Amino acid sequence: MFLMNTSGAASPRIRRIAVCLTALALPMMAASAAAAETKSFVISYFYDANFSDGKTDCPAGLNMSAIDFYRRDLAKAGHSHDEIEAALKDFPGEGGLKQPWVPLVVTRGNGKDNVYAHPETMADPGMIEVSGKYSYGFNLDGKGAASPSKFEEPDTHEQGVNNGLYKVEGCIRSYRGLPPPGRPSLPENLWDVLRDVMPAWLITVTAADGFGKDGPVTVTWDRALERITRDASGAVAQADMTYQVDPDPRSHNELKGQIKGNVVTVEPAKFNMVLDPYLQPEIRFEQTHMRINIAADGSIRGVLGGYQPWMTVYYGFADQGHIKEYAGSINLPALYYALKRNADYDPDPKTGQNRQISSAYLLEGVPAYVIPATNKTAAADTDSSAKAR
Amino acid sequence: MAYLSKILASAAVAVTIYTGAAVSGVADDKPAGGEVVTRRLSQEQYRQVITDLFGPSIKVGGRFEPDIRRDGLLAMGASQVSVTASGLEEYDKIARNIAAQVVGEAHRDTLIPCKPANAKAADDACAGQFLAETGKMLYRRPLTQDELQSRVKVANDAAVGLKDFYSGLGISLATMLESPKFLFRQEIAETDPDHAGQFRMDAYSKASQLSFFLWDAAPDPELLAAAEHGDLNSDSGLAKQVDRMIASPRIQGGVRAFFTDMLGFDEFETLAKDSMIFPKYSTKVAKDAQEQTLRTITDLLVTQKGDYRDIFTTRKTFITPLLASVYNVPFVAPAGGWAPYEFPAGDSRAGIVSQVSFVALHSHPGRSSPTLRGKAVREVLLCQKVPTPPANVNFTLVQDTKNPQYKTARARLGAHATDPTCAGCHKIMDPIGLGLEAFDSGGSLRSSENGDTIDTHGELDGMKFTDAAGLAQAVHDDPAAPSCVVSRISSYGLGRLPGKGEADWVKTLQAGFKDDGYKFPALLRRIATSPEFYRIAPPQTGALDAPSKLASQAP
Amino acid sequence: MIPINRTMNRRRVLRGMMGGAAISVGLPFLDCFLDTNGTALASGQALPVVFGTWFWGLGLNPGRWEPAKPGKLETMNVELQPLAPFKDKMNVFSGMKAFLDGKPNGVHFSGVQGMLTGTVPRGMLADKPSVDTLIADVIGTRTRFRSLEVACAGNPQHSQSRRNGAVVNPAEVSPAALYTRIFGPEFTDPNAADFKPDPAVIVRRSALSAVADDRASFEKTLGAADRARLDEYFTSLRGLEQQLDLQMEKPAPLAACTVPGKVDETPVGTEIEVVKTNHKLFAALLAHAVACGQTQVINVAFADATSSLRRAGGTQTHHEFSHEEPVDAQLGYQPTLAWFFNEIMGSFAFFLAQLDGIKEGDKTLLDRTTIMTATDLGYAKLHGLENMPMMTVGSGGGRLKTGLHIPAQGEPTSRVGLTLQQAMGVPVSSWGTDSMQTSKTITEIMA
Repeated sequence: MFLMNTSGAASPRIRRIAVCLTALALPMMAASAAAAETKSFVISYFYDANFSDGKTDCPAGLNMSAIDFYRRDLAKAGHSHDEIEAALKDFPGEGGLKQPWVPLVVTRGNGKDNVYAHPETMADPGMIEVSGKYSYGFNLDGKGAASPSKFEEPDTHEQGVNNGLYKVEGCIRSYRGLPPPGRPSLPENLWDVLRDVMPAWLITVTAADGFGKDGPVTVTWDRALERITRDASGAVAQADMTYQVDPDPRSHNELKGQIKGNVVTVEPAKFNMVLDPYLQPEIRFEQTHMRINIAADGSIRGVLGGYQPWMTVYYGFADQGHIKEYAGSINLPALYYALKRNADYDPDPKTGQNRQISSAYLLEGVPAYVIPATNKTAAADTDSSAKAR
Repeated sequence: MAYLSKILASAAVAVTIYTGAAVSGVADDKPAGGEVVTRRLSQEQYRQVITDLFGPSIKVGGRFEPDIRRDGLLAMGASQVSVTASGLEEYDKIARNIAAQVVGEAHRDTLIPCKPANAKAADDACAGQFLAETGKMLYRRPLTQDELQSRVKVANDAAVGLKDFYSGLGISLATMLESPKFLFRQEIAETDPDHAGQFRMDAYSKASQLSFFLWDAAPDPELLAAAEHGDLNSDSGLAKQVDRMIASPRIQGGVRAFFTDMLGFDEFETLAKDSMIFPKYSTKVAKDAQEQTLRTITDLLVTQKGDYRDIFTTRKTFITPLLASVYNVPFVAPAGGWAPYEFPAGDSRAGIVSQVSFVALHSHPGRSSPTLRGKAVREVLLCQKVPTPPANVNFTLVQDTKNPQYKTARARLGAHATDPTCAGCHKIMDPIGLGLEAFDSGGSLRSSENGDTIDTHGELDGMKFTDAAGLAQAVHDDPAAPSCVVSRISSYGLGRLPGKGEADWVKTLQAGFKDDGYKFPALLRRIATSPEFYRIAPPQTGALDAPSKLASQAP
Repeated sequence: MIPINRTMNRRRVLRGMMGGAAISVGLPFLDCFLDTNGTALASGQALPVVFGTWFWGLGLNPGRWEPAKPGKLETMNVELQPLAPFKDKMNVFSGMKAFLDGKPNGVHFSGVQGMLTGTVPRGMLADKPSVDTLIADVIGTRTRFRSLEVACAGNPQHSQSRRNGAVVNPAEVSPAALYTRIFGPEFTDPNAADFKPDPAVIVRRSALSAVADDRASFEKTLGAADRARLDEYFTSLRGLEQQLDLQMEKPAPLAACTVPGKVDETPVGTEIEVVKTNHKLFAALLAHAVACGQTQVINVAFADATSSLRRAGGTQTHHEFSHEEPVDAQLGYQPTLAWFFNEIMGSFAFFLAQLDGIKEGDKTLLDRTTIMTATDLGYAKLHGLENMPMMTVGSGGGRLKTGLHIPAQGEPTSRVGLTLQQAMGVPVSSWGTDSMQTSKTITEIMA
């Protein structure tokens, strides 16, 4: 479903060749069957791969909204009914630190310590997790049908998909998926805000035997020097913009894979991308899997998955403390415990606690020119990306 | 009233003012000129005056009455428009807004050359000084005694009523900004001492004629001073100013204003593109596209002093990263702004006809249009009129097949071309526009439409071509192209079509343009130094009004 | 009534009143007060009549709008169905046409000019004033705005209202801007308890006389043609002066006047949903403006003559469909066109509902209004000028009979313009030129 191209297809795109500055591209160059070809893309959307059909993913209902779980947690912490109601009277108010409820919820574990920095000062209040059949993602542990994870991939029907992150997040109302072309609301919003200030993400796919036939590919992921430019609709990235690759190795990845038809997959490998603390500081995968569909109009939709440190995920939420908690109705201590509980890889040799959790993200992209960084000052003009809307 | 005479110099110039009328035969060896045109300032000219006079920090807000296009130019429509009721309402708002800023605390010390004795009361001396200086720049000539007195009185009454000198002054300034003497360019004639029985524009009218022509702006202080001293009435004095103005960086603004008008860029304001079909085409793209074409033209014509015809074939241009995405080429520019770009040799994109500002402007919101583009090449670039379509167009022919959906525009129009009633006119438009079919409505290159390959062969008056670059060469080689720009620029400057008696002058300009190697600044110089540019036809009745005194400042 | 002394120096009179004294003393009556047509001065008398035009492009599908029988409007034909709720308040005229008299058919221009100015021009340039300006000159002289023009598809030049022929009165394209213009800082609420004239307004009014005084010296430099053209400028100046004069008087209270909420900026364009949204906002604003006495003449251009309306994601405009869509063999008409016409008539019904929704005593605002519809063609596909749809809605305060279908086969459309001018009090017995000239009032609708 997700990987079907639901965007209105325009006339067939011209085959595209990436260029470096020493040679200019001619848009209609015919590729010979044996010659290598490269296609490059810029990512328009990137968000948690949370599947939902609206019914079967959360049969036990959704996690309660912030005002409700604050009431519950504060009562559990020993506050009186009147005290709680007084504090929550104008909830949320401006949400700033001056609101009366904020100091109470921040220390609602033991009344003293910051519960986001020290979640274990509070007993696990519980989290409704996903109990449906389907999940985007990959069979990371290789166990397939024999896996303890019973998720099935909705597009490929792969069995034993490992996606602990989805299991944890999928019934939080702000993180719940929507049927395509919808995206989970809070991740979509966060990415939408972030992409105006964060450098763009670039993917290139080089097919050794050309794109006309199946064969080996090299896939690179890099960060750009420029931010994306939005197109006329304002929602997606403008196609065919030029981006320079940020030479920083922290955001460079090269993966080996295969192309079959128009689908690109990679062999498991390590992966790292610098992200932004607004979401989480970085994405660092082991056993990285990827599947990208290249549509007839040149755009891409895909899935990126792997194991990542669950503490990184937790801090991506916790560093904004009560703000993300109340705005997204995400009980952060509950999230902490749920991530910890669902972590399924890389046990700590001393404690046995798994340090990484299986995850998957969905991506959407459009064609772009990707070139090495030049000497020119290359940061995108803020005006052009704002006015392009 | 003593204070006024201190301000006024006694150098009043006797001017004959007459009522203009149409050209009539005159017994003289020189052509007779045309009638007086009274042109309303365009929005851009209005803004430029305010910027030149008060500086760029004064904001001009509000909605201007639309300019209209006549005979292919907004500059000619300017002599047809008046001011409607809602238009004047807006001018009034804009004027009061500007005046409030000028006299406001932030600007009054820099913009008002004197201080009132008492800020809470009227001060005719200071008001008079400001209004005389400012009025001269606004009316583009010194104020008459009556005019100055009237505005000083307004300032006085208002200052008394509002108990504030500056508010009073602002009210008076606003009335000048909505006066017809500011909003309309008056052409005032005088007898021509060098040609008996002939009339010419008076010195100040000449200054305006010259300044709006070369810089699309009101005369600057140096030009007004030259007018005052009579310099503009001598060939050498006029040439000195013309050369100064052509050498100035401000010539770029004037050339841009002309081509913006000639190429019809005002239509971009109401151009619609469906963002679902053309997601790349945004209003920023439209803005950048116009800028690209104007930079291409001014660089070639003014900076490089190149051949005018080369604007149709040059592959050298200037683009932004956003435009590069529409042109589908890799491109990096400093800080995401403008940088030169050259399309490679053999690329079908050459010249302004293949640029987004042409192909996107002359298209429908949802698809391209060979007819609109062919018509635009004829009418905009070659000054050739295409007849309007007949009202009783019969479209049953198009639908008279099993599948009315033709895959490409060529196929659709091919059906039209076989009907003799359609073919007559479509023959002069479609073969041109079909050469541009590789550009979709948003301006991007494409090779097929609805699955069928696009064939871009065509012809322009016998010159055949196979792609847009070939079309560009055909336009370049067409003698109508340089003649057309000469016609347009001379009408643009005159604000009207040349009269019968001026046809020879235009022919001379066209020949001169060729002799000059089609260099545009040389053409501007020829026009600006022609006596024909400043001639006014004699009145039919011959009745002349009494001379009136002009108030002028001491030099 | 006090006769006007036109040379009286307003500034002298107004200066004597700086100090906030009552304004009505000593101020010369405006010449419009001598108008025999109205009684708007004293409160408690009949609310003034309202006139408007509502324009859309490309007519309707022939055979699908004409009522079946002459006389009382019983049922509406399919393309006028959206107007069924108003059938008792409207009149439909079928069979009317525009006569070219051998002039070339200016396709989307000749028909609407004939209908609105009584003259089918030679070439593309109109040269006569439109009927709404002629009526505004009679009924629009005592309101803050002589008339208000709006264009729902984003281009001020879509307006069909013109005073001198060459140039239209530009229309507002932004509902937010119209809101500010009418109900912004310069609005005087007729129902406000206290009224203090703004001293700045008095000063501005006085100052404007200096601009009017510029006239004589300015006109000396003009040729005859320019003088006529610049006359419009000075008419506009008088309009501005009048606006300020009205701001200095306490307006009579109007029970039906309520100030609408502020309108936010909306996108502007030719895509039909955008046009409909802006039209709705405009309709509401205009209804409120009339109810609050701000104007008595309103002109709405739903789209341009030619009709560049389009559907999002569609490659063809309404205009292109009119020429390229075949007449459906089964249905007998152009179905996509029918879709557009349905949207357009639905919008017109919304507009009427805004007027009809404002109660004034036991009547509604629509009851003292007459709206004249206007369109450019009778048969868009072939630019036909026969059988042009013509309608009036509203009895104009009882000046017209309503609820009738008047077949008028072969009659010039100018008969409607003539009749409405007469109903509104314009002293005209014959109107139009060449074969559009008529002196035949449609007596069946005259009350």
